[in-house]
Amino acid sequence: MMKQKTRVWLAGIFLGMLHVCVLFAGFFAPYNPAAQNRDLPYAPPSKIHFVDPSGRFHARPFVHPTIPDPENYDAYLEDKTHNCPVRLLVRGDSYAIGGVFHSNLHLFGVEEPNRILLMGTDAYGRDQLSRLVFGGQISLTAGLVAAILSLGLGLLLGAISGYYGGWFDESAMRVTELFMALPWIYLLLAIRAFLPLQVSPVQAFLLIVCVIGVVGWTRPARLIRGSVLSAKERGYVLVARGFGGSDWYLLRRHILPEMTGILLTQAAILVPQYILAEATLSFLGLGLGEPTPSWGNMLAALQQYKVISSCWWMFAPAVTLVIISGAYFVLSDSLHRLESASNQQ
Amino acid sequence: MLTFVLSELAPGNFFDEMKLNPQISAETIAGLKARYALDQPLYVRYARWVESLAHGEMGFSFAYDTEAMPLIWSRAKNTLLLTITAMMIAWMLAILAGVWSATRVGRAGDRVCVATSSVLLSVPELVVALLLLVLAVKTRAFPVGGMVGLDHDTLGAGAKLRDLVWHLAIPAAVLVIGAFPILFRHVRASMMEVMQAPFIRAARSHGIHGRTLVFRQALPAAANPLISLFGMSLAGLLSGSLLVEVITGWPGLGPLVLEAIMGRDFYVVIGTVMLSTLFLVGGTLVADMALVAFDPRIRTDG
Amino acid sequence: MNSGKSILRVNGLSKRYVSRNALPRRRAGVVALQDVGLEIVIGEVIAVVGESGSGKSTLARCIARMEDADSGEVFFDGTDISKLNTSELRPFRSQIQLILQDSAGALNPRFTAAEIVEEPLVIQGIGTTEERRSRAVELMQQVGLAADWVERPVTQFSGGQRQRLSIARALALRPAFLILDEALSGLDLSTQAQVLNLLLELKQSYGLTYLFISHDLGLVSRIADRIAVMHAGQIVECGSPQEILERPQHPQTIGLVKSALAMRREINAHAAVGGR
Repeated sequence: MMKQKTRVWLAGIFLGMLHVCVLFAGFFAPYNPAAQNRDLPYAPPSKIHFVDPSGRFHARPFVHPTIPDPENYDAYLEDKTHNCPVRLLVRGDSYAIGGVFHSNLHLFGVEEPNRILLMGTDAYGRDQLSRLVFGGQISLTAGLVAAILSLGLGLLLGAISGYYGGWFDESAMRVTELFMALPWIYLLLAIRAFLPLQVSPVQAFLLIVCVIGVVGWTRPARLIRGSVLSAKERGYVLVARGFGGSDWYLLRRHILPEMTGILLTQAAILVPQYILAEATLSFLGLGLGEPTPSWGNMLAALQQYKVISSCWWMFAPAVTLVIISGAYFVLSDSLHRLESASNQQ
Repeated sequence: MLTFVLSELAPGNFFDEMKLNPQISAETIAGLKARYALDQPLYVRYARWVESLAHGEMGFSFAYDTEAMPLIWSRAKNTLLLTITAMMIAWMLAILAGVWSATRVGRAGDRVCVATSSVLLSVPELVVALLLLVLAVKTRAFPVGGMVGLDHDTLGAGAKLRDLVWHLAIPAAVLVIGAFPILFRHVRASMMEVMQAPFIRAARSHGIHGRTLVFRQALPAAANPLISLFGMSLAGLLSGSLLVEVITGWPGLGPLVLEAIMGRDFYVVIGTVMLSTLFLVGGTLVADMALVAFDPRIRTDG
Repeated sequence: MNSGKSILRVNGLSKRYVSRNALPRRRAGVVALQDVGLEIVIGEVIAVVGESGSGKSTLARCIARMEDADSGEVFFDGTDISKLNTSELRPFRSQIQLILQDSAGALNPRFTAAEIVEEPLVIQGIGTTEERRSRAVELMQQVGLAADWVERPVTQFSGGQRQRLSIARALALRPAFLILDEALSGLDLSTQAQVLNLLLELKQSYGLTYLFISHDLGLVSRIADRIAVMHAGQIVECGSPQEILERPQHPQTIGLVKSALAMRREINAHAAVGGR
């Protein structure tokens, strides 16, 4: 069994790399995620070949363009008469990095007007790989931002509650009990229901993030409150108060630094939950809408019989969700074990 | 326990706030407005709603053009059926597996169980639902969608039950797979702790072995934290059921509330949310009471 | 030794701990202090002894304004500090310092030695960063800790060394009055002796006044000018160490003297057999 610390590092690095990929989504994706190609709906992934039909070996891999099968409706063939070599570092559609920098350099691609479709297309003929990577941007960021929101709220309210007590504490705890009594999906949906249905992508994103963040603040808040309660009774806090330390000083210097452990473990638990929450919302149609890709709304297509039975490539977002969940799970599990081990000392 | 009674009362107030949202007036057509008395000032509407609530009604559903209550209730029964079935199966499996695992800590069987539960934990319910759906479609072994077949009414009693069970299988399976890992872990942890306790060793030295030891002595002691877990797992299952119902087409509260949101059918939304909360609070109350009845120590502190 | 003016005078101090969660029958609560009166002269070392629950720690905390008494006055240098609010109390905070028993709990484990000792200066806003650092080094040296240990984290110090750090920190604001609440109880005998010597030295150098709180009569009789015995929230007997040890009056005192003498016999026996 690997040491816990190693696992934390491994999981952390893996996740870090994923996030970097997603940040540079435009680079890794060959095409603009909104670019439609109505001629090729639900086309299967292009196969990569090294040996062409005449038997010659090429060092540079290539693909055949996908064309509709003239004999079978809805099926596709490879057009073996053309070879499209795959090139690295090509120029293509332009994109923005972090909304600021512009570039049109892509990791790989083929010559126009042919397309390389490593993960097939969806109903509108949009390249799934590009949508996957851009969708990752949305889904992962949503999860992170919502988690920050939740943790921030939880920290603030929990710290005030724990430190000052009194009526604020009483009412805050009642409120958390209320929130925790409601099944979270219903709460999420209820809040979403009372907000406008049609919103611009940016608004939708912010909206979802806020809703998810607000629903989830209770657990961190309670943990922080508990921790603050025990921390403020410590000997060194009393002594510091004896020197004339103000509340703010005590919080800043002695109490809040103790919270970092809790915050980290909670973050590792909350972020994947929130990524899933966003995906669920989008899946149900209440999150991000067309044309913005999100892993959730990409999976929504699978609700159709035809798609789920024959278009296996549409499952790609599900795989990525599992991978991310798994990585975060390993991270949080190891963090948890590390923490209980150090508490026992 | 007091807090749960409070929470029960509170959701009514909570949704007051939302009712004050001006969205309601903005979205409705003028004609409908008059018909459903929406042009009345807000507090009048609320008062009338509370009044009708006291009578057991929950307002009107715009989309279905019928009273909301019977609509919600019929769907609620389906959701309850699904949730309770999944709950029972998941808990049974978790207890069996947890106890079995705890008796062989560290050995092959235990490791396999723990590893499986870790893997299952990582897979989101959404994905599980989709995967099982694919399975159903490909193998044609399980029917997809709906609670009963089209020819349900024409079948005999036994066949009716089997029809229901077949349709129930996939949604329930998804929920069970979702709930099992956590329950299993907790059962295992609790049992492991109890097995270390001195009184177990004492019992063993008195000659009590095997199954009697485990089930008569250890399990009751381990049950204490698990009963508290009951409430939380119920919450998770209720939440999960929404998604599962939508994906698998099980006609429960899930698809209903979704439609209601899309159709701006507010009373239905509120009613559904309140009802699901009621279920949850009710379930936790039952768990609380069971805990008190079960463990005499708690009574004296209460 | 009674030649100086009084630095601390306690009058009629009473305090009762009420538990809020108990049933009404039990609301009466526990009496911690009952009409306690005490006078301490500048430069004196006075010890308050008693068994646990006698109220001695509560007395210490009320004097140091860590807690507030229900009634009574605490006069420090002529001013009644028991009724002052936080800002009025500030100048007095530097004058009265409290050192606790649990050295590990009294020092934040994430801090370095320097941060610990500097903290009072930081809180009161005295001096620049360099000035504070050099004062911290100075203080550490005075309590017998090596100057190059300044940057070490607190966790690396032993129990006795941590108490020295606590003392150094207490001295940072140049107090006049030090309250030591069971400060030596957790240490082994030789460390106790070392710290006691240190305290005596510091008293000489700075003209300090000490209030010792302890359950160990034998320990305090070595250093105290006067000993007060507490029981159930009241002072039952008061006198010089000699008077207390040779002619104890109150049954509580008698009990304490007996156990102190018993311990001393044991120690002597150990020493005779060949221990240190």
